[in-house]
This record gives sequence, C-alpha cells and structure tokens, in this order.
Amino acid sequence: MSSVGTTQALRVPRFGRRRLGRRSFYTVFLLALCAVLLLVALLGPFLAPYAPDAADILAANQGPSTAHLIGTDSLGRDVLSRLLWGAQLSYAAAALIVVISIILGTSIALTSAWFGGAVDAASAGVLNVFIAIPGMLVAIIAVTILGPGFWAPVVAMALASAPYAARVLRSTAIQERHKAYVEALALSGVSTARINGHILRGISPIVLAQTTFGFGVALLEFGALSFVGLGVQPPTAEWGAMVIAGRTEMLAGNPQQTTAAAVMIVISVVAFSLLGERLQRTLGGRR
Amino acid sequence: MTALTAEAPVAPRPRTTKGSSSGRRWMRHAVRWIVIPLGTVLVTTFLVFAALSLTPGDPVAQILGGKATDEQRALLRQQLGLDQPLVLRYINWVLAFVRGDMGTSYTYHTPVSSVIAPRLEITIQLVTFSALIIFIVGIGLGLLGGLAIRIRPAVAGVVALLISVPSYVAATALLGVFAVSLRWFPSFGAGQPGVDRLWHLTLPAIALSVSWVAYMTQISMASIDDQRAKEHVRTAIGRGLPTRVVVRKHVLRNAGVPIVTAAGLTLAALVAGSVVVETAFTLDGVGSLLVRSVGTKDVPVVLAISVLIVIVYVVAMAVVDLLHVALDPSLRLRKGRV
Amino acid sequence: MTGQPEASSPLLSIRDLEVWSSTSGQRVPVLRGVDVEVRAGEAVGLVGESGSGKSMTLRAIMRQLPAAFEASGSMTFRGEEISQMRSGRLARFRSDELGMIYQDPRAHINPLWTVGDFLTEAVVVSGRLRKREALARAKELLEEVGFRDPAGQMRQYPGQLSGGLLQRVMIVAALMPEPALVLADEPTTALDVTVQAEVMSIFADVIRTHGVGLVFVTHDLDLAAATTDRMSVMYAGRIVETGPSDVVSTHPTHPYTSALLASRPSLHRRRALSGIPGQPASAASAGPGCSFAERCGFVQDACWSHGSALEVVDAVSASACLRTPELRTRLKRSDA
Repeated sequence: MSSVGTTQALRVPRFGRRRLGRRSFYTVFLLALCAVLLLVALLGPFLAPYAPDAADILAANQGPSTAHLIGTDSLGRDVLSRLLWGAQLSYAAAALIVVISIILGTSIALTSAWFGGAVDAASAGVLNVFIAIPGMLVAIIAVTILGPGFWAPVVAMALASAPYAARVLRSTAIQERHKAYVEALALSGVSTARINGHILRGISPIVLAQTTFGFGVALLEFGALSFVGLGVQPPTAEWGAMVIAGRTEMLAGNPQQTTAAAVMIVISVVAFSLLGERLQRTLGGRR
Repeated sequence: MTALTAEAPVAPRPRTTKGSSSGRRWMRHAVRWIVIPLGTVLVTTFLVFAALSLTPGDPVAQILGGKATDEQRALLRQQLGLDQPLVLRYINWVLAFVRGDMGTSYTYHTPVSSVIAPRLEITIQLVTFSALIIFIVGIGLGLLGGLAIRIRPAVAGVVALLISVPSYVAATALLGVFAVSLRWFPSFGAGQPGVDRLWHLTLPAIALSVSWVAYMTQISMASIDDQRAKEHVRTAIGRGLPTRVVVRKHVLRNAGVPIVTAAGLTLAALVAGSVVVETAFTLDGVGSLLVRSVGTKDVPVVLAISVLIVIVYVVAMAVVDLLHVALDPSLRLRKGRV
Repeated sequence: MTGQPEASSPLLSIRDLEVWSSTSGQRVPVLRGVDVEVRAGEAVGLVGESGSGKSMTLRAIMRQLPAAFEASGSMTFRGEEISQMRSGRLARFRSDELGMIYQDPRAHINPLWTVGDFLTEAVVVSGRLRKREALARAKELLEEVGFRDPAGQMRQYPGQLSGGLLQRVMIVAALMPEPALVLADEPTTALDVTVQAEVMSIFADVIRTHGVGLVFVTHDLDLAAATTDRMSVMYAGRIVETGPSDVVSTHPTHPYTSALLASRPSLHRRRALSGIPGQPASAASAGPGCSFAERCGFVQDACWSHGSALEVVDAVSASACLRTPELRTRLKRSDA
C-alpha cells in the first residue's frame, strides 16, 4: 500500500457501474431530467391539450390562464401545445444530427486508429479541411441548394458535425488501439472486426458522453437555423422558430411564446450538456 | 571519473542559424503557415463553389427576368461563363476574387463587393466588440476562478449555466429586458457611426458573447487548475521562487496553450454566430445579408460571404498555431502534430 | 563513503516528527515520531518500502506536505526551527540553503523553458547569483556530471533530453546555490536500470566533492549502504533502526532490517527466495505495539503492547526492537 496522498489509485472505468456518493446523486438527477425531457418530446403530441395549428384569433396574445396554461400567440394558438409538438421536432432533429454525426465520426476514428500511418495522416488532413467550414455555414449552403425545411438542415448539420466528433474520437481511439490488450488480441489472431468491436467498447464511454453533449449542441444549432428562418418554416411548431416568431409580440409586451420556447431550449441544452460532461467524467476518467 | 561513455544524447543539438539548415527551417515554416492554410482555403472554397453550383434555378433567368430574348440569354450565359466546366469556372472565379471582383449579385444587379462592403463594417465592429468582451471577461474570470480558490464555486456555477445559453436566446432575453422593459438600449438597427453605434451594438455584442464567455472561462479555469497541480510547479515552489514568479512562468505560460486554442476557435465561431445576432437585432450586417441571399437564391453573394467566412476561419487557426509555438517553443522542434 | 562530519551541532535535526492527514474529519497518521539527524557534510539514508513514510519526511522538511496534511514535532536547520520560518525566510531557505532532487525528472521540470533557464532561475531570482555567474556555474556543474556540451545542451528543452540526462540536470539544479543540505527522493528509481548505476555514481561523487549534507531516501538498502555514512530503516511511519551504514547492512539490530536483507536473492548460493510474510503495514493501520509484530519471526507477547521507541543499543546504533540485545547475533546477515 502506498503512502496516503502521494499516489492515486488506478481507476479502471467500469461501464455501467457508478460509485455511490454525493456526486452520483447529481448524475442521477441529470439522468432523470433528461429522461423526462425525452419522454415529453416523445409523447408531446399526446400530452398537448390543443392541436398546434388550432387558431382562435379572438383569443390571440393572451397571458397564462386556465384555458391556456402558458398563453396564446399572435394567432391564438395555445403556446403550451405548440411547445409540446415542437419538442418532438426539435428533439428529433437534434437526435438525428447527433446520431448520424457520431456514427460517421466513430467510423472515421476507428478506421484512422486501426490503420494508422498514411491512412491516419490523410484522414487528419481531410478532417482539417472540413473543420474549416463551420456547421452553420454548411447548413446555410445546403438550404441554398435545397430550400428550407427539416431534412436538408438535419443532414447538412450531421455532415458538418462529423469532423468534430471524428477528431475527438480519433485521439481516444488511437489511445485505445495502442493499449496492451488490443495488441494481445491482434497477436492471437482474432479477426479485425472483433478487435474493433473491443476497441469500440473501450471508447464507448467517451462516445456516449460526446453523444449526450452533442445532442445539446445540435438542438441549439438547429434552433438557430430556424430562428433565422432557414430551418423549419411556419406554421410548423419548433422551438427556435417560436423564439423568433414571438419576437414582435414580445416587443409589444406579450412575451409568453418567446420566453417559453427560449426557456425550454435552455433547460434542454443545460440538462444534456451537463449530463454529457458528468458522463465523461465518471465513465471515462480524465482524457 | 564517470564519463558519459554508454549514453548517447537522445536528440541532436539544436540547429545554429548558419548555412542551409536555416533555409530548410524557413521552408518548413513557410509550408506550415502559408502553403497549408492556402491549400485548405482553396480546397474548401472549391467545395463550397461546387456545392452552390448545384443550386436549382437558372441564374440567367434570375438576372434578366422573363422578358429577355434568347439572344440576350445566350450572351449573358457566355458572359457569366456558365457554359464552361466547373473547375475552369472555379479558377476564373478565384482569379477574379483576388482582384476584388466577386461577381454580380443576382438580386441587386450590382457588384457583390459593393453589396458586402458597407455591411462588412457593421459585422466587423460587432465581432470585434464581442471578441473583446469574451477575451477580457472570459479569460479574466477564468484566471480569477483558477487562482483564487474562494471564488471558484461561484464562477463554476455561473459558467455551467451560461454556457448553454445560445446567442439567439440571449439576444431575445436581452431584448426583452433591456430594450423593451427598461428601455436602456435600442432594440434594432446599428445606428450612426460613433458612440451611437457603440450603444446600438452593446446588446448584440453581449448576446453574441454570452455562451463564449462561459466557454473561455471554463477552459481557462480548467487549464490553470491543471497546471497548478503539476509537479513542476511544486519544484518551482520548492526552490524558493516567489509566488508571482511561479504563477507567471510555470502556471500561466503552460496554461496558455489550451486557452489560446479555445480563443481561436471562439473567434472563428463568432463569425458564424453573427448571422443569428444580426437577425435578432435587425442589424444590416454581412450575416443578415447572407440569410436574405439564401432566401432569394442570390448565389454570388452567398458564395462570396461563405468564402470570406472560410478565410477568416483558416487565418484564425493559423494565428492560433503561431501563438502555440510562441508559448511553447518546444513544439517547434517536434515533428508532426497529434 | 568516508565523509568527515564535524563534531559540532547538527545541520538538520528532526525530533519526534509526526505527520497525519485530516481528510473527512478522520486523522490518518503517516509518520509517527521520526527522529533524524544530519551533520554538515554527512550523508544519511532513509530506507524503507512504499508506504513507510520516507518521502513524506522529505516533504515535511521542505514544508511541502500535500493539502490537508499536518505535522507536529521539531525540525531545526542550524538550530532554526523550520516550521516557524516565515514565508520570506522559508523561500530563502529553499532557494539558498536547500537542494531537492525529485524522483521523476520529466514531471518535475517545466517542459516549456530551456534547461539553462531551469537551472538558473532560482538562484537568479533569489539574488544569490547574477545571471552571468549563474550560467557559468551551471556550465561548470554540468561538465562535472558528465555533459559534453553544456552550453549547447543548456539551450535545449527538457523534452530533448533523455531521462538519465534530465536527472543529472536535476542534480545540478539542486547544487546550484551551493546548499548546505540536499534532499534526494529516490533519484534513480524512475530511470532505466542500466542508467541508474551511472547516475548514482555521478551523484555520489558530486555529493562527496561538494561536501553537502544529504538525506537520501531509497527503498534499496544496499544502495543506501554504498552511498551514505549512516542510515535509518523505516517501517509503517516509524524508524525501526539507525546506525552506521556499513553496520546496519551487515549486522542489523532489528528483525525487519534483517528480514529485508535476507529476502534478497543471493549471488553466491542457490536457495529459495524468502520473502517477509504478509503485507507492508501503513502508519494508519499500526496498533499500539510494535508495528512489525504481525510479520516478525521473533515476535513475543510483549511486542504487541510495547511501544516501539528507538532505544540506544550501543555507541552508534539504535533499534526499536525490544528483543535486540538477545537477538543481535542471530540477526547477522547470512550471505557473504
């Protein structure tokens, strides 16, 4: 046993097991929050009291009331319902973006790490080129070509985020690739596919953390696109679009639509980003 | 006497500044900071060019409208070089670009450069203003939080929240509170040059910088924390060096590298973020021009602005690289990067 | 080593040093009453396994204990109480009179500054030498430890030097201010075995030449015996034996020392490896009696309750074992 305080215990990351303590309550709380948010997004349409496009011009721009818990927008549509319907859209977009980019990024990272040498150098160079184009710009260009909507921005952003994910995962994958157990497996003649499966399992904590973290970022960026009018178009309900749509009303003194949508965005992004960060720390250890 | 017989030095002696080795070193520098960034810009802009050339719609029809004759159309087509292969068109475009000719706007029918120029001023002012806020407040808070233990939890808490506030949410919140309720700041437009401009750009600059301030603070704090725990800091203290010397030489300088990287990334991202903020505050800058041009499918403008953004990105990354080497001279001597 | 220590008052005198950590309200002892004395020009070894507290002793002397660690007891340097030194005096003590050699040179030298800068910064900032003088002295010392191109290598960065070279740089750094006392924490443990011997011999030479007092911490008993004048063996946060190095390594007075010596493979005879049964105890787990009792081959009932203070055995040695007088002859080192 070593002197107290001068050495650090080797922490082997165990995927799925968490040490109990003050800190883990925080993690569990974040997990629960994110789960609730995801559930709301999934079940949104069923929970909504009104249809998202149910307009009632006589009830326009009302504040919170018993009939409309958050109020109504300029066309008399129930803000709460639009939020719930919009959750589905915003979350779906973010989920698609992050899943596609992580899958792409992980594949690139694993390939790069496995072959090393020229392949790695080439992919690093290519990645550097693609990273020079900010995600927002790629989405904007995609919208220029294909027009605004849902799918063009989603695919564009997924492709644009893949290089970032690939870069982070590449260094982790390389580290994992050079670990002793991988060399041992390779020597004993296990197939490449299976070894990569092991490597994948080894980097899975980081992948999970990046996915969670990236979800928040994707949510944000997709919302930004809708905010400037290049994403989801009215009358479809989506949080980013609602923030900009409610701006005139807010300036006139009816902030309910804008505020509600903005708050939901912030809560979602905070929850998922913090969770991603926590996961990175508890599951993956430091860098 | 114990001579170093069995042990050979690992690395060769540093090159002296004489003869061909100096020339070789300059060539390596040139490749790193001129050739590679330039190459990246060319490849990237070609991709953008190629992608935008896929935009549906006929530019000729867009420019001339419905009443043109076939003859006029053919002439314009030839003039615009639309019948040439892609690569050739790209090369022509690049050659024109470096001379300052960015083509003609489909919507405004004036040179793109004259469409962008007046708006560039506003965007540059906005981004510079934001950058100042981010670097001063962000790094400052980070240093404070990293070096003064008592303030740490407060700083960390604020940061965790702010980092998730996107610029459009911040913009909306600031608008609602400071422009509408309190009426301290104007709610749209960029105002007249001078102090009025500053007043108009305050809220937009803050909105743009909120999440990045948090990011810089976080990186700075983490970096300093990292360094303080390092053993070489213990060595320095153990040799009797005064605290301020230790902090300056051994904590800050070592912590500087990740901070500089983060700063570079931030600057580049600000450019993209200005798109959102300009829309939110109805500022007539390059960002909102970009959004409008997408709507009207004004490809030359979209192309020109995109290329400008890419150039800013690449230049920012190159500057960051330069600063890295300035901070950590040992990087200069190591081949290749991770 | 045959240094000629002065018979005057000791350079460094540590009496009843106790160190404990107070994390989460619990007091966890690390050192339980350690006594060390170093005279000017004398080399003293502190030998023990991991967890014995030897490195902590050095950190306590330098007043660089980890956070949440506290110490009590007396540590005097030339009669001055180290724990009472105020920050200015402490800084000067560290920069001018003390030299410290750490275990892992690569972690302990800032990679962003040149070797030359590392060597000269402390003496220049403290005002002890001017920049030019410092550089000249650094060059001299580097030559002494075997650098072939001191001026050139001082312009290099730590990342360009091998571990062995870097540790030599560390040794030079410790000697730069012409200190009276040098503390060395396992200076060769982090190096390759082949390099260890070389660095060790340079180190021994240089210490002898410059006549500094030395506290040499190691887990290698033979290494300590070859390098120091006197040595103390530590176990579970206490000193169990003290004496002249040659005496301790051939005629140990404590069963632990004897067992350590016996457990090493013999070069001359083929016999089964004999280890010490059980795990090394930590200061935290030791009870009231002798901390080695549960692993000792000579344990008696009285050992469990007898406090293990060092008792003087003869003119030069002290042992914490209460059975020393009767066991002495049997504890003799058996191999040649």
